[in-house]
Amino acid sequence: MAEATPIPATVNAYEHARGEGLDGQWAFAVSWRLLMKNVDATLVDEGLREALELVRETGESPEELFGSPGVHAAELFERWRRDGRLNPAAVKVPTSRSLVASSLKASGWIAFIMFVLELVGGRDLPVGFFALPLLLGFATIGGVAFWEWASHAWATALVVTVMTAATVGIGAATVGVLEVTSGTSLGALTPWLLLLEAAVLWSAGTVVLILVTAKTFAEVQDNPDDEQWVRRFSGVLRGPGWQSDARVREIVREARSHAAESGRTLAAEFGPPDAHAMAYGVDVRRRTTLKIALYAVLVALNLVPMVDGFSWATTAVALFFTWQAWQEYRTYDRFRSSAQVAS
Amino acid sequence: MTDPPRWPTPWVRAALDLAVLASLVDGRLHGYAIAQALAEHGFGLLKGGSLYPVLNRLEEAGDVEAAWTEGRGGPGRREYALTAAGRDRLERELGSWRELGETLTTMSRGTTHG
Repeated sequence: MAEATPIPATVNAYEHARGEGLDGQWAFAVSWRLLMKNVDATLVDEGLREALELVRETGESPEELFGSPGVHAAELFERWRRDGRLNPAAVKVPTSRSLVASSLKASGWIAFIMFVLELVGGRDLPVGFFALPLLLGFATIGGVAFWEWASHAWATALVVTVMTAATVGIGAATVGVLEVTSGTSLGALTPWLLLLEAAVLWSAGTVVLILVTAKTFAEVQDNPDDEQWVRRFSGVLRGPGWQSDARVREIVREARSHAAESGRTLAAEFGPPDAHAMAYGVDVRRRTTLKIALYAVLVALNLVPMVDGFSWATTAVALFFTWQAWQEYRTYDRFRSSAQVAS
Repeated sequence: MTDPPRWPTPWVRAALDLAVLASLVDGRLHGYAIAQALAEHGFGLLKGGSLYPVLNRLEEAGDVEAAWTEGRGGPGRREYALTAAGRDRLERELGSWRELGETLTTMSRGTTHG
């Protein structure tokens, strides 16, 4: 979950420092590049503020003072890496208890959304409908956790295949539950029971969450051998939205080739696997494409029930996902154009 | 055994992109050979952890292009070559460095005050 950071305020301050909108674009591009390398947002903001002071003092443009966003971001990253200020243990998986807690809370939210849709739509629904929030909540959180784990261990194509099969299975189970209970309905009580269900599930999730302690994914050995290094390095690089499988293979192959010629181990030649993976960071274009594709699928799935008839609630949800996809594209476009302007 | 860099680390860091581009002027080189070329010219022997992010950045910017070649008996290598854009950048930025050097020299002579 992204934390609220003052980065947007700092970017805004760049725009006002000399009254130059392009300065804001420069700051945005620097912050974007660093955040894409999983650098802590507070640290990114510190770096931006440091440069902002000089921009204010000198009245010079940030490009003139610090170079292009890419160069300045790389310099900050390298300096923080040398000073040991980066926290490379950014890849975490939750414990099984935290998964249960998150699933219960997600189920609670889904029940609440269904309650709102029911108030608006006012359809007569079968009893089996009450199982849907739980089914969807656990499926969503389970799916995200599985993706997080499998994408660090398996090829993307295999992960997508398994996820697709699981989605079809869950869809079939949902239809089955609704079909079996199609003869029974709770009538006018339906929306209010959904609200009660939402409150119970959300509270249960909160209680379980209090007992949870997250632990980091696979501790990194102090002195890994080449195979351990590659496993960890490629695992981090394969994170969702980072680098494609083909690119990861290429980077690893090149690292092995270099280490073979230098006669040193990968750890000696490239340093800790997490820190080296962070130097590559995410593939911004790939991450944006994946996110937009995800929103497109959500819009399509959401529009399927409209075959039965028009619904304002469904249209609103579809529009929300479309707006999210547009925001993703705008962020990417802003990043791309600011990088071009400053280069 | 390799000699330490001939210049202070911040200077080496500032000139690294350009040094990598300059090492490719005579033709394609693979990563390890680029590191050796830099070491021979006094930049110190760069480890892979410092060199490849720079190469990655230059490739993304379109200043170099890379292609795999099969090794003779050994592992394959990824060779880097200067693009036309990289050559232009090298020329442009070398000019700026020269200008900087000349300015510093002129200033140190103390003869230009207006």
